[in-house]
Formats: sequence, structure tokens, C-alpha cells
Amino acid sequence: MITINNLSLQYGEKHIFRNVSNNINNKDRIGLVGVNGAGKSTLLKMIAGDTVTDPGIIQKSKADTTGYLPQEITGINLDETLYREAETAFSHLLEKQKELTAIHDSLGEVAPNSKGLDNLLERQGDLQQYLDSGDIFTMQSSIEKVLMGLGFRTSDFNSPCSTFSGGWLMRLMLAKQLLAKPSFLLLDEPTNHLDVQTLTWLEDFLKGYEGGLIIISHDRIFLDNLVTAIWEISLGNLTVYKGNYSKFVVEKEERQTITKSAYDNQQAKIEQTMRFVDRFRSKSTKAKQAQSRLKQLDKMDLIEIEDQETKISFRFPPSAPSGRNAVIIEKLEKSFGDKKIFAGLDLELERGDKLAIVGANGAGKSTLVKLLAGLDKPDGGVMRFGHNVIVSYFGQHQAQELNPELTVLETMNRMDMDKTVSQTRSLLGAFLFKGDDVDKKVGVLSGGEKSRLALARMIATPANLLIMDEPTNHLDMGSQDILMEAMNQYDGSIVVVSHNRFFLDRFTNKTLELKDGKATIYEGNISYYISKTQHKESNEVVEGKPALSKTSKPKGKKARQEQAKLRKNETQSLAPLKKEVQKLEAAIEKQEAGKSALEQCLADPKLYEDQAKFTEKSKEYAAAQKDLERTYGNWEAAQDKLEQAKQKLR
Amino acid sequence: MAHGKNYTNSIKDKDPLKIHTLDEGVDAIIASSFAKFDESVDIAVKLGVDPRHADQMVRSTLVLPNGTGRVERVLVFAKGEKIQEALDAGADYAGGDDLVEKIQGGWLEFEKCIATPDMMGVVGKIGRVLGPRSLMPNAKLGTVTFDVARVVGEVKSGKVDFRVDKAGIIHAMLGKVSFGSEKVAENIRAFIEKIIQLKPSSAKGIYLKGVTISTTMGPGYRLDPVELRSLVK
Repeated sequence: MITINNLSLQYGEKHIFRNVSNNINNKDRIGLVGVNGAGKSTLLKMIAGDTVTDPGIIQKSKADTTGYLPQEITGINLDETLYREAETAFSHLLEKQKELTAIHDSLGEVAPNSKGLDNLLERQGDLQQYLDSGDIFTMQSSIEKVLMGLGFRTSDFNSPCSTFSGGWLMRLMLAKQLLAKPSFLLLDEPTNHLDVQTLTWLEDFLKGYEGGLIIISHDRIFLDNLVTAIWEISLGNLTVYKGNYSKFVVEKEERQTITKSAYDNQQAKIEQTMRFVDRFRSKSTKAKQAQSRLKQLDKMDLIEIEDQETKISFRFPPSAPSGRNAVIIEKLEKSFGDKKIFAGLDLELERGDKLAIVGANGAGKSTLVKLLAGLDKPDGGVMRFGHNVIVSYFGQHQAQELNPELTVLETMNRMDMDKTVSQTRSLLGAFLFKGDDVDKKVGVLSGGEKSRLALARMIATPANLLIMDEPTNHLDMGSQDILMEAMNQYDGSIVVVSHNRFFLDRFTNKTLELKDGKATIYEGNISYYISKTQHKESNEVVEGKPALSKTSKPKGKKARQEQAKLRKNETQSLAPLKKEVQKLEAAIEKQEAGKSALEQCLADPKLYEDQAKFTEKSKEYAAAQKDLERTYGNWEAAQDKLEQAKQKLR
Repeated sequence: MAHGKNYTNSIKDKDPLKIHTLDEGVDAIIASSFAKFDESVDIAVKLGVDPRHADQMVRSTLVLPNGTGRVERVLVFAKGEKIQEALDAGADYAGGDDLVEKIQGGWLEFEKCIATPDMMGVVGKIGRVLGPRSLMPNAKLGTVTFDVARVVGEVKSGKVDFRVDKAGIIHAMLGKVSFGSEKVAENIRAFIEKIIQLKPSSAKGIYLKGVTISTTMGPGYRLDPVELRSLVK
């Protein structure tokens, strides 16, 4: 168990924690939430012992260990291979094993009755016992399971860490923490660099994790699936809510409503009492009563209302609409050295389309958006923008690329925009840079604040095609909601790369999956894409690829029976529709044959000698053509019905 | 769980809440034994220790006064004259590099493994094979020793080794139904005595929390830890 006793922390006038106390039990699953800069990461670092606190403030039981995954990459030896680096999670066992091997070797050299033998034997016993109770014998299979679950391939195991990108190194750090199996796993934004499939695997893994979990995440589906309690850090206070994130949102609102009405009632009562006191204070017969009411007021516990935390507020400015097509891409190719990122990529984006790009790390998502934004050139293929398309780009590292020497206001003024200072200030105000904040240097801003400034820069100039790469990284949930709403209401086109399922679900209408150099378009949002791909996965066995999700394949007799039942239902409900389509197809064939026979007849010059016969045949031909058109119409309608029924069943 | 008719019959008169004295318990398990073979007598002891703490690990060996009733195949890693000494004492296999090679090839037809200290360098190489099967010689358990003859003799005459699991429970086999109540009770007393001797100084609260005995196929009978403690000298 971990106990937090009266934790207080203050930076200048801002209270990060004000007498925070609480307990964390060994099986607790806690989601830590709060706006950017509320102190979530600080609290996690304190629990992990990375940030030193006064003795007694944070107490841990001796047997409990903590594993902390920070947001940035630390503690990885880049020269080491992937497998060896992952193995360091078991370093305590490996050290003991090394010592044991040394003892075994020395035992071979010691004479039977020598002095040192007893000491060596005792140490051998201790070490052997320690190793027997550890996971040394299952180490290799655990490492393989976790690394492959997090998306690495067997061929990667012997590659040096230096060959992996930042996103993959973060996965390695996560793998090391999962392998070390600490009593408390403290994860700071573990989902930031994970693709959708790996995220599902991680969720499954953490669901079966034996120790306690404390997670900071801005992915609400991830939190909803994993945590059983929410700790909200707000204005220096820590409030505990039971249940997952969705329950927290509802309960927080309820609590606020109840407190607000209790506060209103109390204020009304105070006002009433004060009126009574003012009126009767100087009246001799009632003065005593007035005094006693005053005393009652003094004794009253005053209800305090929490100050509301301000949220950013903005809309993307309207811009002149583009032509019908925003972008047309044909046979696009891109390689880095020998590595082919994609080849033969076709894509057509119409005005108003909101496209999500998904895929594993390194699949080429950022490369594609950079090509779209004109920051990189393709190796082949055509990329055309439609008429009057104005592009605005928000890169993955946009926030980090801001000049740290400039102030917030200067950063905005460097933009080529015709806005007055007061207009710029009011725009910055919407992104919570108020008063003197605009004179802060960019270098001192937090990750979330930099992201907000980058967003403010982006919306300063109107555009009708937004290209955004991971816009929600570092943004707190409140800001994410506002951004999501703004993107939903935006009437231009959007191309967005993100791993945040909840965020994408709200506004996208198309999903582009990049996988193994191929691009597949799904005509729906991310939920539609997930349901489609899971369906596909359960139907096909990919050779040499580990099953990523336990739920993707039916196991056991019951599951098979269930599947069979579903198939039977599907066949039964689709059968009449299929029959109708087949019937209409047969009719079309017959009518087509009749029509072509009539055409042949009409082509015969002899027909025109007999006027009556010609009229009759002409009428027949017109009727046949009409019939055929009608049947085609019916066939299309039947096809649509069949497709809809299939969709429903999925 | 669905049980067979023999088991159901054997628990007909059993009061599941009753705590038995040692003699009552031993009589009851022997009386309720119904299998067609000579069933083993098993014991499970719940201890008030936290096995996550290294200093609260309870692990040792004990030569039971009446043996376990099971003949175990013993393998000894030794060299020189110690090989013959081990074989004379009753070891089933004794040798050095030849046995290591055989084990590396997948052969594992033995239940106990003993080694002389000078062989540990070689035995360490097959730690990954022996370790997961709890066969690795360990000086704490007395299986790394030059006195191989004595240890082989002990193992052959019924030595049990036991350790507390993650849940704080020790499981062991303490004899056969055919021993009769007295011998079984004597083994249990010796076993409990050993466990009490091993109490870690850092363990807090009640040490002997619960004791249950059973036969291989039969129902479990709970024993009174307080009475057991008083029986131990």
C-alpha cells in the first residue's frame, strides 16, 4: 500500500497540491485526470520516488515496488540490441544469476574441507532460492510475448536500439515496465505513441495485470476500459470518484449541481437571516432573537463552490469554399533509401471530407501528411489540389518547433496575418493566454501550452483544408473536446493523423489505413474501421503474426456454436433478399435477350416495307426498353436492400 | 464441482465446519479413504507470512520419522570416488559430464538431484532445465554437499522438501494411508514442529493460521492449530 500524507506543493502563488492525502491499495486501478499543468505528472513522479519529497509524506510498504513510465525517452542504451535492452527489466535476477554462476565456478576450485566452503554454500543456497522464486525461467517467453504484443517483430530482436524511431523506443520503455511487473505500475501517457491494434493489446494485458495501476491518459476509451477510480487534480485539491472516466464525467456534473443548489439555498437563508437581523436588531422585544440568529449564522458551515477551471474556446474561421475535389492523389510513391513507405497510393478527397489516417508506427502516416502539406516531395505519382484549396498544416512536433526565444505575442505577430494587436490578443485569450501570459517566452511554456499556441497560430489564417498530425498529443481532455467540436463544425476538409479513438470517432467520415506499403480506404469513422478490421482478422490467419487480441478469435465449443448460430441467422435473413436479386437478374437477362432480338428485327430493311408491322415492332421495342429500365431500377433497389442488411448484421 | 459417488459417500457424515484434533483428523481421513490404490496423505498449512519479503520465506527439508512411503529416484552429480560412494548409498544414477549431456538431450527420469560442490560449475549449465522443475541442487536444502552418502540415504528414507507458495501456504506429502493412524500422526507432528521452528522473526500476527489434511482422492479435514502447537515439544 502507498500512503500520501498531507502533500503540499507550491510554485510561486500557484498551489499544485494543498494538503493532499490518500491511500493506494495493491489492486487499485486509478486514472489520474486534470487540465494541463494541474500536477498529474508531478504526483506520479513523487509516488515513483523520482521527485524527492519530505520524509513521511509518501510512504510505501517495504515489499512494494513501483515502475514509472515517463513521457520522454530515458534510460535506454542505444547501442544495445532490442532484446538485450528489454532483458534489463530482469536485471535484478540476471545479476543474481551472474553471481551464482561465479559461485558455482569457485565451488569447483575449493577443497572439501577448506574454510570458505561453508560461506560459499550458504550464498549458493540464498541465490538459488531467490532465483527459484523469481521469473528467471519464464523470462525469455515473457520478453517475446510483450515485445511482439507491442508490435515488434522477431526480426527486430537483434537490431540495435539506435535503429528505432522515438515512438518505438517509447514502446520499448513500456515493454520494460510491463516485464518488470512492479507492485504499482505508474504510466504517464502510455497511449501517445501506440496504434489502435497495439492499444487493444495493451488494454488486454493491463486488464490481467496483478498489481496496482495509476494511469495518466487523455484517451478516454482507454481509461474507461481499465480504471475503477478517478483521481481528479484540480486547483490543488484531489477528489476521488469511483468508477471509470465516463462515470466520473456524469458524477462530477451531479456533484457540482448538488453543491451549487446547496450553496444557493444557504446564501438565500443567510440573506433572509440578515434581513431579519437588520430589521429587528434595534427593537427591544426582538433584539435577543436577532442576536441569537446572528450567532446561528456564525456557527453555520459555509459551503464553498469550486472555482471553475477555464477552458479554451475557438472555432476554425470560415474560409472561401474550395472546388469539388480538395485533393486527388494517383499512384503516389515514397521511399526512404531502400525502405519503401508506400507505392501506388490512390486517394480522392472531396470538399467537406474528414479523413483519419491510421496505421502502425513507421507505416508512413506522417510522411503522407508531410507530402500533402508540401514539406516533402514524392518519388513518383501525381498529387493535385483542387480549385481554390488553401492548406493549413499542424505537424506532430509543431509545438516543439516554435522559437523558444520569442514571446507568445511575438510568435503570433511573426505570422503573415492582417490582425491588430487587440485582435491577436483576443485570439490568444481564447487559448488561455491572458494578461501578462502573452509576454511569456515560448521556452518556459509547458507541453500543453505550446500545443495551444501552435493551434492558435494555425487558426489565425483561414484555410479550407486542414492537415493535422497528432493534434491531441499533450492537450488535456477539456481542450481535446473543444478541438473535437471545432473540427466537427468545420465545413472545410480535414486530413488528420491520430491514435485517439474517441477524438477521431466524433468528426471523421473516412478512414485511410496504411499497412505494409498499401493504403485502404474505409468509408466510415474509426469505430467502423475497427469493426471491419477485427472482422477481417477473425476470418484470416496471418502467417507468422501473433494474435494481437484475445477477443479476435473464437475459442471453445460455445464460441464456435455462437459463431455458427450467427452464420445461420445471417444466411436465413439474407436468403429472401438474395433470391429477389437473383430473380431480377434472370429477368434482366431475359429482357435483354428480347430487346436485342427486336433490335435485329428493326435492323432488317424489309420491315420498313410493311408499315403496320414496323409500327407494331417499334411499339414493342419501346415497351421492352421501358420494362428493362424498370427491372434495372428494381434490381438496384434490391441490391441496396441486401447491402444494408449485410451492414446491419456486421 | 461434481463429485463421484464414492466421494459423496465419504463426506456424508462430515461436518464441514468442524475443527478436528490431530487424532480425530487422521482417523477421519483414513476412514474416508476409498481409492483402489494406496493413497497419499497430504497436508496444507496456511502461514501468517508475506512471501514477497525475502526474509519471510519458509523453505526447508525434513526427514520424516516414518518416511514418505514413496521411493524416489535419485541422481548424483559427482566425480572420482564420490560416484561410487553415491551408488553404494543407493543413488539410482551418479556421474558427471555424461549425465549433464544426457539431461541436455531431454532425459529427466529422476525426482531428486544432488551434487557435490565441485560439480556445481557443470550443473549450473543445465540450470534452465532443472530450475523450472525444482530439481536444481541447493545448499540450503542440503543437496549441494560432499557428504553424498548421507544425503542419498536421507532422501531414500523419506525426506520431504517444502516451501511456502505465493499465497503463504505450504503443501507436502507426509505418508501413505497404509501406514496407519499412528505413523501418519507422528509424521504430521514432526512436520508441524519443523515449521514452527522455521518461523521467521519478522513474521507478524498468528503464524500457524490453518492446517488441513486429506488423502489423494478424499475430502479435506481441518485440524486445530492451537492443539497442534501444544503437541509440539
